[in-house]
Amino acid sequence: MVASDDTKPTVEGDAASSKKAAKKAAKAAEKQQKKAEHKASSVQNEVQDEKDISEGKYGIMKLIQSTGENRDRVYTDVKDLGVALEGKMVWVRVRLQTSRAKGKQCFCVLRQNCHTVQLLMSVNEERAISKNMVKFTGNITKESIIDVQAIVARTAAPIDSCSVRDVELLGVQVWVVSQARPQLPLQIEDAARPENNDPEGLKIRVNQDTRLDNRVLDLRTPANQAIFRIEAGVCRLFRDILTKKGFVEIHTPKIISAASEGGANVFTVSYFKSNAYLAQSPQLYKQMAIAADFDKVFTVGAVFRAEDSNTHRHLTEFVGLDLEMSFIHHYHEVVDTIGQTFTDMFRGLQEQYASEIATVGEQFKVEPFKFLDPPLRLEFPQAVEMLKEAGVTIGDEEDLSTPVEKLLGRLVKSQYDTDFYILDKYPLAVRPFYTMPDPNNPRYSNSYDMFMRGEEILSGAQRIHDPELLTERAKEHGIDISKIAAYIESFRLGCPPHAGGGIGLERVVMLYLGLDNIRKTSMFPRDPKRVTP
Amino acid sequence: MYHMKNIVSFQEEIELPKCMYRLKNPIEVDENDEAELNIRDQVTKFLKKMSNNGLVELENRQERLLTKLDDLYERIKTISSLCKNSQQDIKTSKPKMEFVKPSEVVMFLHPDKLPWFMNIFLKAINGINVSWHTHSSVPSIKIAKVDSFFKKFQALYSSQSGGKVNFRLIFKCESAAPELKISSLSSPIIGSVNILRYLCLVFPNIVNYDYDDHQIDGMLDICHQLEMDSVKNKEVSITQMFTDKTGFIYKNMFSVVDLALFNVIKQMQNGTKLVPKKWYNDCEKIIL
Repeated sequence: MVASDDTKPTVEGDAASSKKAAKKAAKAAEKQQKKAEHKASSVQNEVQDEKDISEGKYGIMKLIQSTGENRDRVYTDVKDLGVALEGKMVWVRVRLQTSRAKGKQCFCVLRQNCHTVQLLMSVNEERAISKNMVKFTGNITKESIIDVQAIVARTAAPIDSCSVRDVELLGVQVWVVSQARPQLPLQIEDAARPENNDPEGLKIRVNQDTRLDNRVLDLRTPANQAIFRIEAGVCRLFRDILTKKGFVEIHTPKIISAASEGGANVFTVSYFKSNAYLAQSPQLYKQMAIAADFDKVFTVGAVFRAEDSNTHRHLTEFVGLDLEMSFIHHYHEVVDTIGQTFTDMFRGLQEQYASEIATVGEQFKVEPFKFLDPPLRLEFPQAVEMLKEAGVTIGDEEDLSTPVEKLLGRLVKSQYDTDFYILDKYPLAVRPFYTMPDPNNPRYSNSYDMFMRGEEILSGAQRIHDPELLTERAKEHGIDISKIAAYIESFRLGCPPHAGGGIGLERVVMLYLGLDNIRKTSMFPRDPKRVTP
Repeated sequence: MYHMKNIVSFQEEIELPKCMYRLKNPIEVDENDEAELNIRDQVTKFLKKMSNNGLVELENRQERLLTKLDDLYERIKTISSLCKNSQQDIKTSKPKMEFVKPSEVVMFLHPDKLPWFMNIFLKAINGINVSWHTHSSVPSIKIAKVDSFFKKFQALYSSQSGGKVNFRLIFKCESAAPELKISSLSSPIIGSVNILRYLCLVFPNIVNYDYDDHQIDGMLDICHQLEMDSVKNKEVSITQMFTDKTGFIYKNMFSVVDLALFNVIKQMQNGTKLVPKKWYNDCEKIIL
């Protein structure tokens, strides 16, 4: 409030106006007096400020440049806070998610990864907390990183808004480690709001593009924290399970001289004086490793597809989890190994990532993933029969379209109550030239697809390891033999019978969690319209 | 609410009575007065005078409708007589009927309830590929019990060369009663007693089950009830079933009732104590 010191001069001979002027003058004098009083009191406050009882207990921390201060300080993780620590003094390094200051109190929600806890900062002489300290806490910008020293206290009623419900923190010290700017491009509460159809809930949502443009903020939501921890889990379990089964992890080149699968969907890169391509699949290298007597190999790495597919399940760059294995007599040895790897992986996720799965479920309501152990394996003609019963007629040598695959997924779920199944014996006509034909029925092949929630996640087959048969099949497909001469040649040195397949990490995580878009499971997704951030 | 179609049009007025009840004048008798007020006669006279095509059409239509109704009545009579005949036919031919054997059969079971009743069928039928799966709802600790059952009866629960029927057992914690599914679109058969009824129908001559005998069905219903009952009620009911009996329950001959009850006993912890030892041993020899 700014009080004006100017007073209008009175006009002589006008009694009424002179009375008004006198009143105005009196008011002005009163204001002046009040102003002086206020000034005096503020000076007094300043004096009091100088004697702030909380001094040295709050403020902006000196830039951490690894000078060695406070190295003996022990920090507690938010997830470990509980009644067992009641009454104990703890230090936590957290983000300030929200704060609400009212009078002598300030309630804050502190977040560390997926976990949140309530902080209560109230004026308290015993703990030497001044009003200024409370005010300071209330003014810390959202998403700033802070160090808090506090006493763990049991709450009278569970705090529903936080993941730590039984206890809260009673603040003693607050230091700002890294300040966030006051205006955020999106609010974490909005980005973390459950996507259910609650008629009474707030409808404010953050759209996909805003999220991806501000991915650093978006990734801070509990659901995203959980998604990428689960994704790491899938990768780790894939490695662990296969290593236990005797597989060897190999690393295949990503810059290749020729397109590995057809050549239509490759990214060309300038390579010194000529061009090279980004690998579409590590398949040829896996097969070469088999031919080099590695028997069982797997690889985890980036795969590039120059497909202009703007769908919910396509990316131009994704993480491929590929495996190849030699077998003794029947390619079902490989199918069973891959199927069991998936089942073990799902079981591992169910047991080791239950809390993360529940966290994702709080934002995205989906049915839990169901599977069978050992996994269900159906043959292509059986699927055709099931579809026929449901009124969809498919030709014996016809591939399944995406909507038909989804319908089949529903039918399988209805009969077997599983979201994961293997479809074996695909028609030879719909598979690549290197697929081994079925010896019992030349119209079919020794190939298989694996499905999660009705969407294909893996396509694999027994590869032809005989150079003559491979040449014959390539000719039947109308492929120029000279272009694949090196591939055919690699089998002339003797190669064991083998089969394999590959999956996209992001797609597996998306379907396991029942999410609707692959961009939700890619940390920095690449699609035909996005190459940033 | 309703508009009446004008079928007979005329302008002449009909003289209507002016009072509700006419009393005869005991003193003066006027016969003409009554005759003049007879409304039916008046209307008939009008109608006779008029040559109305609409009325003729209406009469014809009515005639046609009546003929159709007669025809329908005859047809219904024939159909009902046919139904009576076919019902009699079914009664006589029911046990001889052959049901189409499904190519894919799925049975959902709780891991605590093992499929003891299946052994007798698997022993007798050839060409069945049996496989078993555990559902994701089953915790790891419960898998061992199921695993040991299949190890014990490995020869029965395996794939047979050239098998045309796939029989899959899925152990799932979500439903207590066993469920049998023969198609993704059909409703499941719920309860092991009902599954037994179905299996006896599809694979006749393995277990004795007379479809015309209501007493057998009554006993099967009791067995079905036993599956859902508390342990205490089970004990009472099973003891009652074996009053004055040491051999097979119905007509002293092994039947579907013995099989259903044996399955219930096998699912109980102390079930064998409730039944005569001879009956249990005889059943075990036949079923397992």
